[in-house]
Amino acid sequence: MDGQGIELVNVTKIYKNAGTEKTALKDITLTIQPGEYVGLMGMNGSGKSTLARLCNGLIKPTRGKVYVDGMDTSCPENTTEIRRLVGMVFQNPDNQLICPVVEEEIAFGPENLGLSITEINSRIAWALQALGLENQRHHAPHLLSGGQKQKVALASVLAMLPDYLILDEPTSMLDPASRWELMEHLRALNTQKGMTIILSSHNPDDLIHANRLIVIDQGSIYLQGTPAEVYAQESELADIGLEPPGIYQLINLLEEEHNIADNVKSIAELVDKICPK
Amino acid sequence: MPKIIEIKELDYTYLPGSPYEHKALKNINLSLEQGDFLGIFGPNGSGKSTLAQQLNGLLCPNNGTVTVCNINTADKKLRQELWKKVSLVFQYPEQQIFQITVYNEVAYGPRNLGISETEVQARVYNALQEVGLIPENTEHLTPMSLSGGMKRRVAIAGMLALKPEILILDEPMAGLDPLGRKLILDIIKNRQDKNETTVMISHDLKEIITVADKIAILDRGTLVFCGEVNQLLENTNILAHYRFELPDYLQVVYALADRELDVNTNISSMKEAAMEISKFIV
Repeated sequence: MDGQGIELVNVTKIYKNAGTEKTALKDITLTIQPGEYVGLMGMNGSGKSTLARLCNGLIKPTRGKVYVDGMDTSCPENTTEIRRLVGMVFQNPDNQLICPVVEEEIAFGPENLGLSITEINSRIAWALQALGLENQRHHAPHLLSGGQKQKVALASVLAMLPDYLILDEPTSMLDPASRWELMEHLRALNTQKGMTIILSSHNPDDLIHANRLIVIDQGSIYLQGTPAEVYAQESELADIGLEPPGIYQLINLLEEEHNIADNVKSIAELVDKICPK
Repeated sequence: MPKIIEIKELDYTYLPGSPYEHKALKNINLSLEQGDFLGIFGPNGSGKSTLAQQLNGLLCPNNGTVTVCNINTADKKLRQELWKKVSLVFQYPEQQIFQITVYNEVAYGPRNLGISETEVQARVYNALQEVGLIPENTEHLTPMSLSGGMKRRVAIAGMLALKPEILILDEPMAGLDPLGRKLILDIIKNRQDKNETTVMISHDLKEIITVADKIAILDRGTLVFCGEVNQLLENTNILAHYRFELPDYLQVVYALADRELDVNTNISSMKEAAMEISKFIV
């Protein structure tokens, strides 16, 4: 990767609405390296979505600076290039689906990048295949189920092959199998294509592949570390209304009386530890 | 026991005869008793939302019958009556909020029932309390200034204020943090305690298995299981298929049983699981 990453320098974001002010982020300084896989955790209203939206210039900081590959998101002349580099998938797919047919939806981004028909076609085929949507290619997005719509929204962003992919709660409507699939796709995009992933989710299971978890509370960074480091701090998470994945909760509970090895982090590892094959 | 919901041989096809024809529900038979909490579970596109919309007559069967609160949902003359008895909370209900205060939003439904403003106020206050909001502190707020989880609860309060006999919630926890999810479950448990009927759709078995009385599992439009939670946990055929969707602690217990450890699989909480698993840690 030749980019310089996404850099937030002393970023504060204040929303002003009808005379009231709400500080969504307070003086955040943070660097997301190219190729990194970052998970964002936090309660509703903690500032996760604000942070995600600052990263592609959808909103501008009230104070401080956000740079994408060195470009200041507050400068309007950088907007087009930043939008090309940073793809964004929103929580509710109905907010971003605009075309009458799935393949047109996926073609929309690449067409606007001015790509050739051949390239657009190959990207559509790849994005459909990546998310298992081949059978829905000619369907109307609004007639699909909630989870299928979410996959279409993601496919349409993937087809632009962004360097940075931001996903704001992309799994909220997905069933466990699709969610698992999506996590595997994100991991592959990250490790094979070097795509930088910034993923926010309320489901702690979604974030286990991240290199780094950032826990946000009331607009500030509350905890940071690898998933294992963060999930071991169950009571700290509980203090701000969050919880680790079920398996970490079980391990943490067992650890009260037993010594479970540090490298045990999944159902299979725990089962193997207790009863080796 | 009289059935509050009775579905017989229900088939439903979207856009029949067109190139987009899609058989969403096939030969569904299901019944529910007063006071039950039914969890409808299935993967994306399995027909959960379609089934939910059959329960209040938004969609009507192509074949078969759906009887809810003794009303045949296909009878258009009784539709108004049906809507007073069955409230459906859609996915992302907060997007339907349109009034400028929380009070007006929750009052909108009851006002349309033609009841007195005093009664409306009583219902609004009750409904806000049921969803865990303090009426005095929230009634004057603009819904748009609330967090996602609070908006969702305001939207649900709007339905509760109609005092429905059956409350149907379509993925009510989607996008909520753990605390927000707990608050939604509390609303449903509260209804369970009062012997009120609730149907909740979820794509996440972990979410409903610990609280529902009955579970229905849909797979590509077919009802593959409908019964009580313990029946589900004893049904090895079904479990083989959905095992990885069970809570992690149950998965660990079942995996240990597979390795021929003499482990008790009749477990109903993480604490019980930890105690059981502890016996096997040397």
